[in-house]
Amino acid sequence: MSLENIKTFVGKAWRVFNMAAFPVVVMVVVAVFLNYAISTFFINAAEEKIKNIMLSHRGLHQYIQKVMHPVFFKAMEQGKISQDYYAPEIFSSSFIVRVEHSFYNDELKKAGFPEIYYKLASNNPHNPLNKADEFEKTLILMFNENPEVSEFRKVVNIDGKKYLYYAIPFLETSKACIRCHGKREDAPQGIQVRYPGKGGFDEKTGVYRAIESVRVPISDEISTAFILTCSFSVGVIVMFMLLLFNRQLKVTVDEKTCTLEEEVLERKKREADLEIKNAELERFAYTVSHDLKSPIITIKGFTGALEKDLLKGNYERMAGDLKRVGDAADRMNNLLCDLLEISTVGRVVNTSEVVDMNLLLNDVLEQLAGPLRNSDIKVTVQPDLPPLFCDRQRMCEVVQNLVENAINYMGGQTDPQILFGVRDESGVNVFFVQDNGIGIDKKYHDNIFGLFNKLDAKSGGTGIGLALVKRIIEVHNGQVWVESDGVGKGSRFCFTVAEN
Amino acid sequence: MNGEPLTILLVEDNPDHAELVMRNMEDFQVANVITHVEEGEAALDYLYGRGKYADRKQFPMPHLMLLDLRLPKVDGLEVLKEVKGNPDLKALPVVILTTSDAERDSAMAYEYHANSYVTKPVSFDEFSKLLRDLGFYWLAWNKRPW
Ligand code: HEC
Repeated sequence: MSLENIKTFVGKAWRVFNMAAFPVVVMVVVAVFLNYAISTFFINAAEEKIKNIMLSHRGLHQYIQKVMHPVFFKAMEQGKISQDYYAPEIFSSSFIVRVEHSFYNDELKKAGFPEIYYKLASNNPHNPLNKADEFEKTLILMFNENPEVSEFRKVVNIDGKKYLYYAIPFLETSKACIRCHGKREDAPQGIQVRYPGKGGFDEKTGVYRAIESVRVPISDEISTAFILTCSFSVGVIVMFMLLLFNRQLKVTVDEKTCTLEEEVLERKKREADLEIKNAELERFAYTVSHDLKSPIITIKGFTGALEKDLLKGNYERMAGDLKRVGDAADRMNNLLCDLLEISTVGRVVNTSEVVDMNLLLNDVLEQLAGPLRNSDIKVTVQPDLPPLFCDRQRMCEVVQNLVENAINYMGGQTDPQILFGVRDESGVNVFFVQDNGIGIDKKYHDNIFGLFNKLDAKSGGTGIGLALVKRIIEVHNGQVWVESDGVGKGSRFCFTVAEN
Repeated sequence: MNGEPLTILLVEDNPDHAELVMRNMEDFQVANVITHVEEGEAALDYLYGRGKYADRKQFPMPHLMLLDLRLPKVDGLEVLKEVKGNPDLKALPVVILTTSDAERDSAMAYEYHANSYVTKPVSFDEFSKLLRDLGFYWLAWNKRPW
């Protein structure tokens, strides 16, 4: 893995993290809330269970005190039971409920359920079993001081296990209670005997003397809530990761598709370029074969004719025919030179430089001074030509060929003129060579740049000049074209060079 | 031959080739008149009797046209297309006589209903023989359209 790769990887990871940060925070909040909600749900369920137990106990208390006691007391009054007789097993609701609860626990155990702790915790108890501890004492006090509070609940930790602790005040001490919890000497003889201490006596009415409390284990429920939350969170995280991964995958696929499409486009463009090049080459080969074959036919033809005339002793035409052969050979030579020339354009590349076009024009016109003088042509060069970034030597050839072309196609112009100038076309410098010669019909404006294409069979040159110009300008990524209003109206050859 | 002069219109931009054709034709004396034009446009002017070819007596309708393909301005194929597309001219036998043996050129020529397509032979003897045969075939053996 290169440093670059590591960088992009880290960058990606950072992006993913950034994308992930917000959802993760949301996720954590949701998970915490969810855990709380599920726990609360279970605690509420546990509380309901506790309340049920309490209420059923209270029902039993009520039954004992409201139904059993009156019957007992009546029986005592009627002498059926001795006034001194007292047995908590059949008289005391707290006793009965306590014992009943221990039976209940036995049944729970048998059925495979956890036991439920129950205690009636009291201040000043008859029976020490019912004695409130310090915590229970504060609860009793709390209920007495806050009569509007009807219950107390708390999740407590005992030996590493969680319990829901629930407490309600026990029945308020009323007049009926005083019979057995009032002055010791007023209580039934049995009670006095059985509970010799002061405990359980001298109680006042209108207060809560005790609480009933129950504790149920909720460790299972809480861990269930935790597991639920965890699995939910894991599910969400996995889903989120999948989404993220999917997105990342899509992005990657999109990127890949994009580059592929680009590649295809590029290849298509290359293929199209190649096709154009091929067509060009084909045209080139065709032209070359045609134009080179032409003089061969002439040479062979006239040497044949010469031979025939020689045999016949017919000498008159011989000089002319020999000249034709010679000229054809020269033409072939010129063609070959031109071909060589044009084939080097683009293959032999001189470095481009900033060329002072004013100086370049000077040089070219100096070279063409002879032909210009011979044709009596007036040449004007626009002053202060802008510089051009190009291959100087090639640009010389371009200008020279265009000026030569103008000289060659002057026609019968009595006041022949050539103008070299430049104009600005939306920020591009368009150089031009303008003449007042024979002009060119619109329909040949493309044709004339073809290899060896000549509009006038009799005109000088091989017809390579403009093809060469076009080739050079193409290599410079520029454009060349001709403007002419038609035959007799002169022509203007324009060219541009791509700026870089 | 009804005493009517047999005329060939030679359309050829290369003056040397034109000279070779005319010399051979004269040697074999197949045609009475050979008119040589160098450009496609001139050939059309001749066929339509336009401009300087307006006088039909001096420039009679040819019985055969020898047509080169690569011509400046209006090229051979365009001339052929024009001739074969014109109801008055399409009967004129047009023999393409060209340097090119390119598949594309012959295909295009036949596409435009050239009557024949021959490539100029490099050998002088063959060149002579070809022109003799051509002349005899089209002007003597062949039933002329007019
Ligand atoms: C018939 C007599 C009798 C009456 C009436 C009576 N109790 Fe009790 N109570 C007892 C006895 C006996 C005990 C002790 C039982 C045991 O050993 O747990 C007791 C226990 C209690 C305890 C548990 C604390 C302790 O002293 O051991 C409370 C609290 C209590 N009674 C509240 C009341 C209230 C409130 C009433 C009135 C609604 C009431 N009792 C009426 C006899 C009576």
